[in-house]
Amino acid sequence: MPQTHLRPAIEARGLRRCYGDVAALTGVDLSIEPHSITALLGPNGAGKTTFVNLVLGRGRPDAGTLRTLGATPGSAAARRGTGVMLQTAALVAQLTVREHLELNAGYYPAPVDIDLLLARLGLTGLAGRRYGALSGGQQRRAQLALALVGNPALLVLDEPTVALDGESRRAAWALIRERADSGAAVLLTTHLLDEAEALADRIVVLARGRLIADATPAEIRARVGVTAIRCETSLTPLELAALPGVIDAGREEGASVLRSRDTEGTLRCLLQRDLSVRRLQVTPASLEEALNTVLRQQEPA
Amino acid sequence: MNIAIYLNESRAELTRAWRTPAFIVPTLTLPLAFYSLFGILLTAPRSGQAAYTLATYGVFAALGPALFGFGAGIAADRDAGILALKQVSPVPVGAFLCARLTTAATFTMAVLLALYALAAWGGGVTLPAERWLALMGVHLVGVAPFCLVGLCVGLRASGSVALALANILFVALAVLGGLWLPLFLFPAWLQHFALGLPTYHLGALALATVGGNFACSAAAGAVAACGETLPAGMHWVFLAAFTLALAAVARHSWAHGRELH
Repeated sequence: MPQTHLRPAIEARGLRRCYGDVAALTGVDLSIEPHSITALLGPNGAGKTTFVNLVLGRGRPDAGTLRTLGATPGSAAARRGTGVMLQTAALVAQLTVREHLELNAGYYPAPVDIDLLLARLGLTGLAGRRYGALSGGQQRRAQLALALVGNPALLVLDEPTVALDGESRRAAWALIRERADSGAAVLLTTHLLDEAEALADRIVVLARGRLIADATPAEIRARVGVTAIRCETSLTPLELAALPGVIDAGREEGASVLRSRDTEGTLRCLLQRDLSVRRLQVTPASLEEALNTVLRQQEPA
Repeated sequence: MNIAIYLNESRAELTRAWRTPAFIVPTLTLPLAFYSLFGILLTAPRSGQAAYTLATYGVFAALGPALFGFGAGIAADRDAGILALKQVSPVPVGAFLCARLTTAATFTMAVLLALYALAAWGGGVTLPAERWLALMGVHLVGVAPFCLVGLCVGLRASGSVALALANILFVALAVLGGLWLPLFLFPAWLQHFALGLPTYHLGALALATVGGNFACSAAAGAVAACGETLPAGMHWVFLAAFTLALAAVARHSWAHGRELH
């Protein structure tokens, strides 16, 4: 890694946090480096929100150490370098988009150009409109702009593109990617796996307060080793399910679809049994399938 | 740069309040309407009551923006998720509070100017210029302790509870502090409550500023029991102690609120 000499933007060691008797985080070690986008995934209640809150100084760890930008989380020094988008947050309804951005830009030492940012997020025409008069998607875009306007070294984005349409989402992804490319550390939580797949360099999976996977999206998919095979065949689903390595088989839009954990073995046999196979497609498991498998492996027997 | 943050934050908060009719209309009109009724229309001319009530209704005017802007306003902001984003943003806590304080003080000053104009032209109150200024000073001092009362409510209670509490405190502090009706009209046991209320002490200071020795005031035998004869210094000491104690509570509540949400 060329960036190993850089200080991590977030550094957690043995991080624990309990709410009463319930342990939300049980000894998490995690470093988030500059120049990278890390997606924090996991089922509800896995500890994602708790982790993000601790990073932002909203609550203190019960044990372990946590540094945000080398400072105490929530301290003035940490906050001055952090841009935040919270899922449940709102902005003052009576101020316009531009007023909000100007106010927030003033908090940071080196903010970005507001007009440029507005244009990139398709908010130029809405700059003079009050936040309260925006649609849900427009409000989310304004909140993302607010997180980005300070040009911070650390971006913490909680479900950044929920409620955005396809075009806005791609614009948001491009902007976030650019921030990481120019050196920012990005930590995002998301339920949208296509978002994690398109955006993240690294996927960190939390389950029941523990870190259970930490790898690139491709590595996580490969770890599961399941592929989806799609084709038009005269074999029935029952016959297909009996092929070697096949986990299950079914029909989808006129084609047969099977999942296999032994791609080559399944294909060899399929092509022997049915010489008329057409439109054959082999795709690696989706990230969603891979994650579900990773999570299942973690469940207590 | 830090000063710019304070200024920008205050300007944004003032803009916001100005664009919220539900905040400005009652804040501006209530003290003026009450004063017109109890200070002018329902009083005998030249009885001195217009001046007496000016002193206490000026304190009342400072109460509204503080309790509703701070108390109910901050609680509503927290419920909406506005406060969470502020608390994780780089804005210093001081700038956030200063903006709210500036807003409450600005609106209070606007009501006070309208109130003084009403008293001078409608109520026939005449005071030397330096007395008007001193009165403005005393009335504006009230903004600080009242804002802290509001802040403690706003940080501790949820939105709807905070609004109800702000309303109760608004009326209780005004009535029991002798702002609506002179304290000497109350039974003696009720008058003792006033000693613990910042509204009473500010009212007493304001009364001393406008002159104080009115017929209605002198007639009050019972008032001596609850300290209308306290020296001015005691009122200031009480207000300072009250303000410091509330500041400590508010400080604690702020840290508490950051962790919870």
